[in-house]
Amino acid sequence: MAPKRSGATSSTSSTPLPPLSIDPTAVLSDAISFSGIYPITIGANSIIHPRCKLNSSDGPIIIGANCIISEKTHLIAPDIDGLVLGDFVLIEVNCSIQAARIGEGSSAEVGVRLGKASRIGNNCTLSPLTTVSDRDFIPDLTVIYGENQRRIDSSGTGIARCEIILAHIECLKKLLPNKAEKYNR
Amino acid sequence: MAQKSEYIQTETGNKVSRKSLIIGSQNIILGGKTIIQAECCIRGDLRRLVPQGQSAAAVAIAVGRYCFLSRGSLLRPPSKIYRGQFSYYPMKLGDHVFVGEGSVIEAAVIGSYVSIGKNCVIGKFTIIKDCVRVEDGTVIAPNSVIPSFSLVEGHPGQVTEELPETAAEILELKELYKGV
Repeated sequence: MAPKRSGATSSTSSTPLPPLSIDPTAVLSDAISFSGIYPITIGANSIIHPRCKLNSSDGPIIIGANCIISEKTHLIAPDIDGLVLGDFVLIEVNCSIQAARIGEGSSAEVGVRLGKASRIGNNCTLSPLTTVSDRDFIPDLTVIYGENQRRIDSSGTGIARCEIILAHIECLKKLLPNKAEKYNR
Repeated sequence: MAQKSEYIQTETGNKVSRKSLIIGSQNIILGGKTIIQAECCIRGDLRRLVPQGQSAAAVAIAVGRYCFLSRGSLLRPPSKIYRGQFSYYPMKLGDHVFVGEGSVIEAAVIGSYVSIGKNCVIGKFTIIKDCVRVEDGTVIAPNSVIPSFSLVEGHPGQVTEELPETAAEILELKELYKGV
């Protein structure tokens, strides 16, 4: 990971941006770094915090609707099949995501590392500092906690969690300035 | 001295690295003589949303005196739903708080003389009282309360030992400030 000089001007003014398709209702902060050659799609109402890095050098990145991606997170497409985030995905700070797919309603908390081409099911919760190895498959409703212990979440609170994410997005839309037009050309 | 010019010194003696990322600085209070190293991130823009008609809550992050935020650490106000309204809530750090490299702090209150190691995660709305040491790589669960004079370690973080009564002297950061 090469150290980056300045945040505000780092949105690759020298190298061209990858093809971006940003929904008009998405909110992109300042100082997001896009790199790579494959297209990056960002769905409706999704929020991307500052200092995120999205790298599509090896494949496309598709972010669904109503996702929140926090600062200092790296999204790297693992291969030509790309990285697909479902709807209502919450990714907290300091994550490094090289997964092939993260299912709907899943959340990755602080500092989660997802190995190359790993697949995360729907409504999963990955607790802070969890590491998922390359090509691993995490089934739906799994909670990973502690030292890689797993259980199935049978509380059926998936819909309630989506509602919290919607309220979170509504709050962030009031707080974060939208700089999406900076990336739209 | 190349090292000196890395920091911008404020009137109250805070030393803030030019390579740090401070967002929403109008909502951040630094008590003075606080050091913020490179690649630190402080999210002052995530402030409390108040219903219309009330005066706006101005402070998102308050930091006391002689704090030390190491490289790559991150302070982020905690958020929750309360009475149907999702909002961020203010975060308060006391004096002589050390935050290790790469740690992420989403606590509500951190007392004075607290030392947090490297790569720790302090969960949302955690309350840490005075004179606490948090070992490297600890993950403290959201909404926990850590009592005074504790040593916390593990994943999830648990109090494993009691610190001696002289802990405040050991955890003082005045010398560290003079060294930068």
